[in-house]
Amino acid sequence: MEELTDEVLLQLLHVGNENALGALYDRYGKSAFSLSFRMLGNVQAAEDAVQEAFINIWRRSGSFSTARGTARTWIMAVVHHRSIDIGRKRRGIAPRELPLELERLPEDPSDTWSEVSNKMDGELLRRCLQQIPDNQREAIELAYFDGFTQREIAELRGIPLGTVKGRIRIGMAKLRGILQETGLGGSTDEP
Amino acid sequence: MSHDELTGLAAGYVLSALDADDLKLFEAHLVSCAECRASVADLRPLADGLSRMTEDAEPPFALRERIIASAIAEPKRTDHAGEAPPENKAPWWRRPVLWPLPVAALITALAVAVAVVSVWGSQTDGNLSTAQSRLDLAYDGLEIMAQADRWWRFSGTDIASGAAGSLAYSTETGTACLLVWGLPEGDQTVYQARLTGADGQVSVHKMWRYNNAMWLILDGDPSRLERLEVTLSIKDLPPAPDSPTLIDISLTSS
Repeated sequence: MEELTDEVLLQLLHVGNENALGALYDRYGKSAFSLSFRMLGNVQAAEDAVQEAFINIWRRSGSFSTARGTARTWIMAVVHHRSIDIGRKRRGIAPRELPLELERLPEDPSDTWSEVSNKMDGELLRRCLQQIPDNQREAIELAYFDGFTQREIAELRGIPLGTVKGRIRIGMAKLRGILQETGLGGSTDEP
Repeated sequence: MSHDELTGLAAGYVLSALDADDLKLFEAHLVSCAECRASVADLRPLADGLSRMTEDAEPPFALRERIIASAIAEPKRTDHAGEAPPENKAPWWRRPVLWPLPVAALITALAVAVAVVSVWGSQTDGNLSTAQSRLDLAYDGLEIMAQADRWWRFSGTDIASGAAGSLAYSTETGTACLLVWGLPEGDQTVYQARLTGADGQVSVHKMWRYNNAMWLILDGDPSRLERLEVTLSIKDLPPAPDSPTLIDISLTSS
């Protein structure tokens, strides 16, 4: 199974092949657990989130499309969402609506950054993130790693919702620009 | 909300940070706005990159087995609905009882008839020429099977144990019809037939599909072939030489 691409493994999952699930877990289980543990700070909760995520992937693998992003992006989005759900439950916060996990969005012909995504490493991104203003970085991290909505971040920090939206929007645009300067793909028509 | 305001939600969207009302608005907007979809596609790798920023944490060893055990315990998915649950004994088509030819022919003809009716229905989708060519192929398949004097029957490989099919050859028409059913349905799943000749030459053919029945018309006597495989592929990607085999028919030994 090692030689098969992620996309073929997902198709095999759809056929009901549990060996493909094992192979996919061998590829992404550690990344999934690391993300979930970073978000939840608890081994048992992270295990639950990863298990739920992979079962979800098992159920829905047939609807995955390369036209909407890479397999890794999809898998990590599912793990991210399950971790948000479990984190909120553990904190006694009401569950919230989460974005569609790629498969129900319309297809577009290309993902300009799919290659970038594969080349990007955590250390590089950490360095790039350090280059954006603290308040923008904090808003991005509160959103992504702590699973807060923009409104919740505004309440948490006692600032207007529009300010949070602006910090996230500008922070992400800056991050993208900094990454481009490092020579990682993408077009150059963004700020 | 203006288009600029909506576009501004893309960053929050890829971070899964939109509140319910913004999320509903933005997702509804995405369906019809290619520019915003491009914006999301552009930013999504950043979110993916954030997931790589975490310190490595080793998952418990037992988690892998627990996930696989849970997956196996899952009820059958909808595309397998109606199939018999797994039993200790071999599936009926693998049991050492030969199918009477008339029964096999009847099953095959019925499957094609269903496909014909389904294809007929698809004409209302507007793609008349595609529907017509499929209909022609289905009639050709019926004709071959009605006159067939040689049959091969087969089941799926280990990774497609729910699949089965028949290959019928009519000496009179000099053509064969391959019919396969029980293959899973998926938006991005496509199947191809890979033919290996006695000289080792390989050719790949797209199979016609409706739901989980698939068929293909082949020119000439299939017994001239060394092997016929139905392999899994992915829509929009070129056929991969190492794509997984779901049906494997060794024609020389049949």
